[in-house]
Amino acid sequence: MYKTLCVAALLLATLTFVSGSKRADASPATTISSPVIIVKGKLANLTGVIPQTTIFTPTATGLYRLTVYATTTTADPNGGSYYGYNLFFTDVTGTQQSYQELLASTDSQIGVWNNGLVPYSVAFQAEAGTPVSYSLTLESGPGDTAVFALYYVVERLE
Amino acid sequence: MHKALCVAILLLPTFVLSQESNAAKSSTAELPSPLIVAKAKLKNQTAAIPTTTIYTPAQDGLYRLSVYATMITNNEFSQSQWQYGVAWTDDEGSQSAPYLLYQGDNVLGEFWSSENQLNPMGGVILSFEAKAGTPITYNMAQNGSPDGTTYSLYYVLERLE
Repeated sequence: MYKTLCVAALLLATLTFVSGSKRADASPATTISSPVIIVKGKLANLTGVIPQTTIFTPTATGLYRLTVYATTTTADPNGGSYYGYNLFFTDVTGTQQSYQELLASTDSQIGVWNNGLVPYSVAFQAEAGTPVSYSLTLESGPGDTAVFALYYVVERLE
Repeated sequence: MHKALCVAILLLPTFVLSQESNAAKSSTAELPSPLIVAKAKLKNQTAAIPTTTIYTPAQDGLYRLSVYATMITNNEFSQSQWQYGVAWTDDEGSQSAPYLLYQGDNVLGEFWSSENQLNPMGGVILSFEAKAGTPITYNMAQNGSPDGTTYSLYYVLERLE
């Protein structure tokens, strides 16, 4: 009697674990009820340009949202240069799309980057298996000793 | 001994479930997630879309729309333009953003944002307060003659509070 009861209880426990893990795996692939953060980063003490660098490679085609914030933590008082943050992705047309200078620095001043707009969120549609990347490019001037920090979050919306 | 073992095993799933539920509650308390209330993928559209309800809020609140559009097939000789707009009702009354995204029909790829006309700054994020019982709507107009172009439109609407 005890043996049977124990076997049944063990099976129940196993079933609970297994169905729990199925729920977690299946949910994002079918439908989501809230945005899901899939990648985020904080990059401190940046100087100079950053070549095109992959943020993430979507495993599912869908609508994504990038929220990015950049700030100059140490200004170069003599700095006449400025840097731009650029985003690259491939949408359903199959060609790489880009947002140039989403944000731009003012290297002679500390503080938040902008481009005449508030710090930025953008929505974009990206195809599975195609990298989403960013770069920091020198937009004007010879470059200087300004130091930056960059914060970002990417969410999958559907 | 057997009795104790059986009780322990029987309690295990209950313990696991209660831990999962606690974790979810705790996570919600720390950083609640916005709720997606409407979304759509409208692929390969060839015609204008008249004013269409995205969602009618059941309660007043702050909402956030994320929208992206891209031209799939262009017509290099066309002078027409697709224009995407949104409308809602806030505490003051009817509001609208009639040219939130636009694209010349002779150009392939991502629509441009009316926020920045120097570079494509892409899919727009628009936050607004909407009153309960009033529809949040969108439309896609074609400014000019039909020209055989094709576009796709993607959007997600979230309730933030």
